[in-house]
Amino acid sequence: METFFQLLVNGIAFGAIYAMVAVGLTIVFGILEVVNFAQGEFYMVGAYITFLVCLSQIPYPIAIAISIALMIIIGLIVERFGIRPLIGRAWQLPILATLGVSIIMQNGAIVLWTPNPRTIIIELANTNIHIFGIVIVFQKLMIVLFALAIFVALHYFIQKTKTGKAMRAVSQNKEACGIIGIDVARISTISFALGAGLSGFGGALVAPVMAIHPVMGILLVLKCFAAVIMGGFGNIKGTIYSAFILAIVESFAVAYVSLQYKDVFAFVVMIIILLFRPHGMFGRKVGI
Amino acid sequence: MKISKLAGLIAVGVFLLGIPFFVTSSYVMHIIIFSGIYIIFALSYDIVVGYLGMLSLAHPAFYGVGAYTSVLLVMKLEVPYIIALPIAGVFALIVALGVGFPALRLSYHSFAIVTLAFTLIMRAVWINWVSLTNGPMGIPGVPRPSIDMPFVGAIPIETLTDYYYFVLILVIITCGFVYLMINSRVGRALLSIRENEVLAETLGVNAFKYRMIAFAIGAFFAGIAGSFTAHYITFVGPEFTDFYYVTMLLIMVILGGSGTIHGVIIGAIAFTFIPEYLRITPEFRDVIYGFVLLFTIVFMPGGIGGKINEILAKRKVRTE
Repeated sequence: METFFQLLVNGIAFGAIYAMVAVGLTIVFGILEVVNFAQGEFYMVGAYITFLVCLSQIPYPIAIAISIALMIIIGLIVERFGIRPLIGRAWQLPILATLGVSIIMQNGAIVLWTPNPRTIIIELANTNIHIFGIVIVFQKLMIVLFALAIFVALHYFIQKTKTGKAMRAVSQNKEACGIIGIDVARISTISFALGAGLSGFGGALVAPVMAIHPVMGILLVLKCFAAVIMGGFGNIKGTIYSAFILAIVESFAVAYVSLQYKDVFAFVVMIIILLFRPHGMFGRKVGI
Repeated sequence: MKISKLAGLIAVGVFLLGIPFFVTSSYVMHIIIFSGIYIIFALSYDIVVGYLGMLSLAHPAFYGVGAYTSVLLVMKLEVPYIIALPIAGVFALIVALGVGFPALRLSYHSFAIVTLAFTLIMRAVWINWVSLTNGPMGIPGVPRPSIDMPFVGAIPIETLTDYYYFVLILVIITCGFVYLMINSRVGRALLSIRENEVLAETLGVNAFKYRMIAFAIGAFFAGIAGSFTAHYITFVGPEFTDFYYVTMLLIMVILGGSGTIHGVIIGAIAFTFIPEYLRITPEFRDVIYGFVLLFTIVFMPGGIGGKINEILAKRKVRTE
């Protein structure tokens, strides 16, 4: 029974990370209708920046803030030069552009920082907490708490603020938004930067508990895609639930089914769900 | 005009047949053979990406399926290569039908991701099904093909020249098939679906059926390319289903010009030769690939083939 709860806790911690990255993906998809392959690389670079900042004796919370800020800037640059010129052209071109960005960032990271895995050691982050016989690493608890805080903040942002309302409107009908005076290009830029920032935040949060290496983003982003598809493209709540479900299923499957096929479960679950529900579990066709 | 076209065709034919006589370096010959393989591979990818207009990321999986199928048939069941080669293609085609059945019903974006997931699943299978595939080590010592012909007897394929003519025949078959398919009823149906699916369906074109056909044919030729590669380098391993191939194919197809045969051939040859002579680390090469892909998409979305067509069309207008 203890193993069961231990696995559940681990699943929830990873689910929080999946959910953060996946929410970014789903927002970008909802607004720009672009599948952002570079999202995993934003996460990877976010982790690297945290690592590099922490190396120069700067405290971890500041490192997190720097990571997020830099990822937002990188997101803005990518959106401006890679995505915006392609909006309104064939649907696969922006996707290919993000794939190009992803290849550049991934291999650029190998050239710059070598493929060797890096780790940072932060005392507090690696403290174990014992609750009812379950061991939880402090950082994993922080990941879950931060993620929950982010989701609540995001909910208020999208439901209550003017920008958030504009985002919802753009995701439903771009032409109509143009007519009533919503700056669609500006909303697209904000969404892309928001996605990049969320991904960078995710990367900064896992930096103390996971090995940091240039290809760490690939599998993560693919599992996040699975979560996005299962949740119904562009559906934020659906994506968050799916991300947690996937991570928990994965955590149990690794322990009880097979370790070798660890990275396959998420995709198998996704394909099975798509067989029966082509628009995802919580599928609607449009809207965030 | 007709005679000059015929003369041009004959000149190209003589040139292609003569390559082994004036290329003396075996290294260059090796790259030429790989260009041939990548022409087949890239053309098969262009059927899906260029003519069907779907971003499939499952192509390396079919390449791997083709390679493993023919290697296992030849080595474990001692099937002659000339039979194993088409079976490899057909097996890749059957797998593609299995993947396409759920995947082609989805939206464009979901399709891209499901096919990518399939590539990863196949790679995991190659690595973990050790009893069949020898795991991450791969299967070395794949026998070189020997082709039994009626009346002539067995023709062993051993030297680079043999392989060159063999791949040349496969390239010609592939180009011919793609050309005929594009100019047939199927090709026109595909273009109509790509341009406007709703309109095509109202005119009685069954979009799902034609998508399945194109996806399966693309997989067939990818399987053929994989099988030939395995028997050429006498090795097959999980590397055959590497995601790197998607990047490479996209560069070849997009820069060459998706939806054009000549453009894709140019793209495939160029991007087999360029990396060989660039002499840089693979990572740095991939960074450059990424930039090439990005710049092509932003500034020249038609690719080289598209540019050639543009120039030809302009000249036609001028002469008329």
